[in-house]
Amino acid sequence: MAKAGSWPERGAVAAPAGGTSAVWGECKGSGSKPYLAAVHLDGDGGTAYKCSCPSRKIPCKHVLGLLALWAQEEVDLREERPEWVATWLSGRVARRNRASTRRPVDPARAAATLREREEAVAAGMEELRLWLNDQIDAGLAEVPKYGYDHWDRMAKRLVDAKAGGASALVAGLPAVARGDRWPERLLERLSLLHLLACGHRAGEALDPRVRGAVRARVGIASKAEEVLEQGERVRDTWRVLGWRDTAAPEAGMLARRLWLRGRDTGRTALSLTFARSGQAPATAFRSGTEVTAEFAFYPDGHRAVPVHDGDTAPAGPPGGGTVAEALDSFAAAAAEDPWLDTWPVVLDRAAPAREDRWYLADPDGTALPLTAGDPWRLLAVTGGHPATVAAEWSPAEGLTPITVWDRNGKAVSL
Amino acid sequence: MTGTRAPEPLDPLAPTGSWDRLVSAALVGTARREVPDTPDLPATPGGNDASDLLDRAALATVRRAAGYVPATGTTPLTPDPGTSDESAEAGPGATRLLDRIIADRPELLPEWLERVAARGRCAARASLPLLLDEGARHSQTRPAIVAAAGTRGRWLAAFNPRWSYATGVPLPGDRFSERDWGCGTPGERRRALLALRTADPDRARELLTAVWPGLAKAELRRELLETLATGLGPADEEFLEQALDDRSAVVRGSALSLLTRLPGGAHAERLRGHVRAHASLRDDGSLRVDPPEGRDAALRRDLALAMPAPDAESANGYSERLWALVTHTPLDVWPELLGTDPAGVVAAATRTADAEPRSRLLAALANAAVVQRDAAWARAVLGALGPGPSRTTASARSGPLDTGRLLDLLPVAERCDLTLRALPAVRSSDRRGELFGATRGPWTDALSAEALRLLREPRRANAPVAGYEALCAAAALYMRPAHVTALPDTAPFDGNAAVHAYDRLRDTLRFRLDMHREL
Repeated sequence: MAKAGSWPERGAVAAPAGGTSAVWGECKGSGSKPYLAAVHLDGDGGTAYKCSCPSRKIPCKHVLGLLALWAQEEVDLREERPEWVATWLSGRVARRNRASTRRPVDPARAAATLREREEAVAAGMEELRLWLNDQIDAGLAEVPKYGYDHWDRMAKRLVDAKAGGASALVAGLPAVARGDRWPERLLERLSLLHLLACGHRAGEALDPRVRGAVRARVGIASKAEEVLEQGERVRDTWRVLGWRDTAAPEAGMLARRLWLRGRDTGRTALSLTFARSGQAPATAFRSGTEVTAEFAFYPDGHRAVPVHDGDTAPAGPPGGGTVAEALDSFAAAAAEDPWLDTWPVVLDRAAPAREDRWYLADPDGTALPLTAGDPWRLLAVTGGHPATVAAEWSPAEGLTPITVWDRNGKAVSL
Repeated sequence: MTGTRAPEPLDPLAPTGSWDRLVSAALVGTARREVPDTPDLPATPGGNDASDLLDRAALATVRRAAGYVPATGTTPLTPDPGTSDESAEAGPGATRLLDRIIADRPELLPEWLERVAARGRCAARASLPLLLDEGARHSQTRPAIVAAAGTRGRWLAAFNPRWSYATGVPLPGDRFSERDWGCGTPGERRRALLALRTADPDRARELLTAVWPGLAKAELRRELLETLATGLGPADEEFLEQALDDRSAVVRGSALSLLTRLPGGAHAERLRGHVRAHASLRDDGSLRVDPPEGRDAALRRDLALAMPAPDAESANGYSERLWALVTHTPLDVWPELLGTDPAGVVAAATRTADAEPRSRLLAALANAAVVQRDAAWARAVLGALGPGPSRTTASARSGPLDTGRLLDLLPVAERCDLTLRALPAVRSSDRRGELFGATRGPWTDALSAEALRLLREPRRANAPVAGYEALCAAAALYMRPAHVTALPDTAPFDGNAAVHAYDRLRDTLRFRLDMHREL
């Protein structure tokens, strides 16, 4: 297939900026008609393939043969191209343009849009604050009898006000309003929502990081481009602590929370990536490595994106601490983000203990409970011997180990 | 619970006075009740009642989350004392393959385990939970899984009841431990006894004899009795004879299976006597076996059978006794009695005129060959069944004749040869696929060559596909994976289902080729 003789007609299409944009060829098959194969190399959605053969494999062997030939420099740039190549390529370009058509940016108009949005959010959050007061005025005793629409009305109002994060928090309330100790758990949630509404109302008066946390929880998303442009930059050697995949608020999506820690600054960074459920979210970071790079931080001071690829190198276990130190670091982070419910901690010499449930314990027996489920992989890797463990800590749910470093210092994701 | 203090571990907010008062006020509603005093909380800005209450509740909530009190005085697990060598673990490549096998290709797990064992390795530790779960689902792979899981796996299995099957199994290097035998769990006792049985069978039996009368649970008696299978010898017969009088049927059954493996003993000789008393050759050369008497207490005891139902003799009772007698009596009694070889005995059995007793007798002889692991008898019974191996012969009344297990008694080269010789006479492609599957592997080159020829044969797009699929499935498991090079990239024919089976076969062979490179 990758022989010049099989491809009497072939050519490469030059890219405007130099290099090759596409390769095409007509392959002599056993039948009377040749197979028409083409590859679009610099398309927006990645490389695209086309072939008129009936094979269901993409790319098919004809395309692969053509590419092999091209790699051997047997396909030259050609000005003219057959009509089927021109049609296919122009169709792809047109689709790309349609997809990326944006209204021309008018700064005044953009500012107005932004202001309208801020006002909408503010109105929604104020309504939430008053609604919360109403709930407490009326008393919570009857709450378990309420139908879903009682909560849905408020949640929907917040969606309309473009406060998706706050809306999701309200939508989660009916699940809290039943079961064991529901009055206490419900009052906790309501009071934290109240704190969020008050925080939003305080606006610029807040410390910038707290304000960043408020806006992120309310659901006012910062665009990655803005963060790269204006966000705080920190250069460090970032050790990968581990990651955990959870269902994202959007239906059918999976979120990967990957935690890093700066070697020199001690700064905690969170990389968030998303994928459709069933697929693994892609991250640039691998466990058991560290990457020297500059990160740009979101306004909340934790979430970050790398400014450039950086240099990745293998790394041993990160420095860990005691349970008390882990709880202190959570408390310090909660001071800036009181809604915090997930925080990475690293325990060294942590050993599993089993009492009424599973724990991870310091050498002196001080211990944090593990989330529901059994830590089988952790046990299998450590054999119950003390080890360095990175975990997500949530005061409400417990400790979820995400990475363990075995006796040889090798990272194992849990 | 050794001194752990964890007041309400799931609830970070242990109730305090102020908090409880805030909760009750919130339940009643601030319209009807004043906001309570909360002396232990910092002052809040005030405002209307509801807002004030929420302010204070938020303070309390955040304070409790940030001021989480950990549990103290927990006792760590007793760690795995094993000093297994980590360098003996399967490498990352082999581990990735294992993950994919467990996810998508469970049929290849036995081969992976076999290859790991052949290299003297064990599974990577992080894979152990998945592997032990596989064993919990499929009991036939358990021995190989336990071996691959090693001492770390056995240590881990003690924490999960689903994995208990792995706790009582001995591993190379086990030593007898007085402590385990004296006061261990049933699994540990069994393991200790097995370890001793390997080193000093007589001493192990003496220990068991000493505690035997005090073992109240039949299941424990059975488990410990079965350790005698290791290092079984004539010296064990007296103890086994005793166990044949046990009050529990499962223990009597185990004792009988062990006695069956001692063909030189008194018990075996008594069984031969029962056969001699009941079997003879008829004038037409057919084998006749008279119904053994249900009331014959000595025979019932020797075969670990229950007392027959009082409503006299049922056909079932007769079948059961015949089945037990033929299964457990050393097969050498038949040629001696009839003056012929195993094939001759089987021929005489098939000459019986009535279909039902004939198939019953044949099935019992086949079962005896399997139980007594006798290849010569397996060959004789298979020979009588017609050309080529099959795993599905069944007769309605006597239950299935498990020819698969007979075949497995033959060396693999002989199985391949049987198939190869039977193939030319087979017209149906379904039957051909079945033949290949029943042969199992690893196939000889000659049989692989024949399979490859059939796999590449031109076929009509609408030809029936089941036989071809069966052939592909068998070749995927039993052919040496290097043969994949003899299969062109694209199937040399059309037809969706067959092309799909062909692609899947190539895919599996290439996967196995990777596995053979890795392991």
